[in-house]
Amino acid sequence: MSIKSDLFIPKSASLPQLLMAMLMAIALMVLDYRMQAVDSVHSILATVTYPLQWAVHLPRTIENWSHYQFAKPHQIIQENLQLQQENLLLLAKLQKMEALERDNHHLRQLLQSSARINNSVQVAELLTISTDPYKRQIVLNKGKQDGVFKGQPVLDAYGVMGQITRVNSLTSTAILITDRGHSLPVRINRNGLRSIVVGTGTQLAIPHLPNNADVKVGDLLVSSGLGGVFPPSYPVAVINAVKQDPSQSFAYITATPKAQIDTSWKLLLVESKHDNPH
Amino acid sequence: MIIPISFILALLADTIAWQYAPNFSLLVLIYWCMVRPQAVGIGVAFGLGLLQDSLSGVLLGQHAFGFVIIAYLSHQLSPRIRLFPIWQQTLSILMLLTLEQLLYLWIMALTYQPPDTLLYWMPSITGTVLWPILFLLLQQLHHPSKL
Repeated sequence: MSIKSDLFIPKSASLPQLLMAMLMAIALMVLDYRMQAVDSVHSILATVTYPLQWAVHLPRTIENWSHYQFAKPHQIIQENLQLQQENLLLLAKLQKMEALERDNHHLRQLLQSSARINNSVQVAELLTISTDPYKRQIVLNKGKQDGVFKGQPVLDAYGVMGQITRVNSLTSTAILITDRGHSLPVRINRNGLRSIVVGTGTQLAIPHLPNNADVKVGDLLVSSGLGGVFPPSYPVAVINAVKQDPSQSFAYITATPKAQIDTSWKLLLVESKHDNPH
Repeated sequence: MIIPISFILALLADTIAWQYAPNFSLLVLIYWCMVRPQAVGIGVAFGLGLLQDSLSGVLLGQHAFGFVIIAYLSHQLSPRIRLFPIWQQTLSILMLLTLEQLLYLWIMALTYQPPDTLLYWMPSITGTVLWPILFLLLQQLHHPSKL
């Protein structure tokens, strides 16, 4: 291709074309923002981008695979022993847990309040995180085919991570609790005080507790189950700062998520079917 | 053939890249709009923008809106910009990248809270720094004979 032919071709981008494309983009944004009317376009695009996300995930898949293919037998035996020990400990805890659950169920029946149904979970893996640094979102490798639904809570081994916002056929998108657009009803485990935590982008904050509220650094926040999205009593965060400024009507309270938001990549999707939590 | 491959690689780089890394897809888009305007235009820019929207989980059209405008401007600039020495070309790139981020910031401000740090503009600066390298690299791949 010579430079000459490059220079003297007619312009391929015309102004009407640009205006059309801009209008289309604006229309898509409005439809997406106001009424989630373009979910089908989303799932088509998600199918197109799936190979890319899969490719990004590939090194981790290979690492996992090679760990078992090339590990020495004694390493595997050691790992197995360790896991067996851990399993034994957890089973012992579970025995106690089962007894407590039965007790709890019984007491609730006596009080004639609705019992909590055991939540079943499925394990999902993180595919990618949002490339927009101002949005805290992740993509998981489970989708409609695995029974994922919109609003489903996402946990990791330590606490609440977020909730599903969009379900595609093979993948799903979840918003993290640290996103600025996310809030979550909680109560303080120590005294049962109810509140709402909102994301600040990097951690969590409780914006609307009065200055005289009984909150201390180190208090554990658990989900209260009031929003109807998250099952009750899962650990959410630990209070890390409480500042009481008498000139302000609300205390300045921040909390660190219990979930390892930035490092967890094996996540749990909870099949939450609880009725009235309280 | 090199055009779709470069776009796929750019999208991959964007998916794994660091928060202040440049927007690789946009840089590659500007390159092709200037060098091959008859092959890469508004339509390609729109599609690429939608793919980035899907990958980054933002509103559909949020990247596409800026991308089509940048594609149009790159077409307009292309006959002039290719005669510029590379440092002058790089200045025009800084302008284009900053414009894209400005458009994106407006949409962010309208839909959810905008970022509160000036570090938001870092991708434009890193992108400008990277431009000469990317330009020479793509040129080598495009016309290996010109070595």
